[in-house]
Amino acid sequence: MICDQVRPFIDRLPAREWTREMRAAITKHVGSCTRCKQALEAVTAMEAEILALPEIEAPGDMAEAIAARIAELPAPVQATEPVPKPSPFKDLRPWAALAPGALTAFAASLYLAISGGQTPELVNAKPMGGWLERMAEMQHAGPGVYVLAAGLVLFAIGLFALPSTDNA
Amino acid sequence: MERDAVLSVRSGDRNAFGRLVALHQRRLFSLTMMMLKNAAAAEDIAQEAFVRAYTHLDRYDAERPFYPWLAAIAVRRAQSWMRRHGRESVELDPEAEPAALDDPLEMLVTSESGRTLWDAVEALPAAQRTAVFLFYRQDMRLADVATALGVTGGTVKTLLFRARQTLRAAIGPENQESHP
Repeated sequence: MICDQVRPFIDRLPAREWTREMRAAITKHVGSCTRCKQALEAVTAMEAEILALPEIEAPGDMAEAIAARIAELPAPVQATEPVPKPSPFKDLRPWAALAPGALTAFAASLYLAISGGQTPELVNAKPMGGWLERMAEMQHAGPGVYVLAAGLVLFAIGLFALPSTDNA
Repeated sequence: MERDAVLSVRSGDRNAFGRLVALHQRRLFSLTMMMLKNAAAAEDIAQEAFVRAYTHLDRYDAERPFYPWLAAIAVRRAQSWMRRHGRESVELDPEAEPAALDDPLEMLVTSESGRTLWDAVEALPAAQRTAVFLFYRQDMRLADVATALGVTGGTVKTLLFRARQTLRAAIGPENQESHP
């Protein structure tokens, strides 16, 4: 490493924030560069002086004053568990509410489309291609109709369950 | 010990909070005193921070150190106090001039070099001064300093860099020589 690479780390980044690799590179460089070594020593000395500055005592009655103020307050809300971190999948939750309904409806529609091929004469004879009539009259489609209805209901519930974007 | 105290308070033992106060009151008072340079206000803000920490203890993540959370509360209260009283803001303002205020802390600094350094620390803009104090004196991580100040980690690095430049110039002009 050369001075121009090392010096920004010495000047700009506190030593505590150096990575192991940075520290190794800087240590190696200052072993052979007097000027960078002096710069590092100056920064280190300054940091040590800041640390050595005295700390003042809190007022003697501060703890009692805090205890007196707390005594007048209700007990804090109990929360023995740590605060949960936000889920990285948070943004996907609204769509997860819709997914079961949509999947069920899709599966039922697929089933009906396949089963419907057994009664082709009804398709062209009725409004909407005879879709409703076909569903009602097809013996094989009975369970599929119920599943489709359930899927549509689930989808509708999912739509209502979507949280408002105002709270996001 | 700290975590046990927090859990005890959450379980209804409000006296356990006294252990947290005993552990951190000196450190917190030093912080508010450094920020406000007014003993009465510093004590009031430190007390406020403890009381607020008590009432909002349910929001504290007991898996993390208590002090950075407490210090963040205190810094925000101190910032509000300074805004209310027309003093310099701790919010990022690199051009802000330091306020000329009373300095009871200076009396504690006895050595010549220490006094020079303390004068230089005091002369820093409030944001830099607070960042230096939290990072170097209170041994807080960069991320925690950023949270306390309400800025990004990059901003804290910039604040520390500018503060170090100023302090190095103040305590040793020979350190400011440019490198070829």
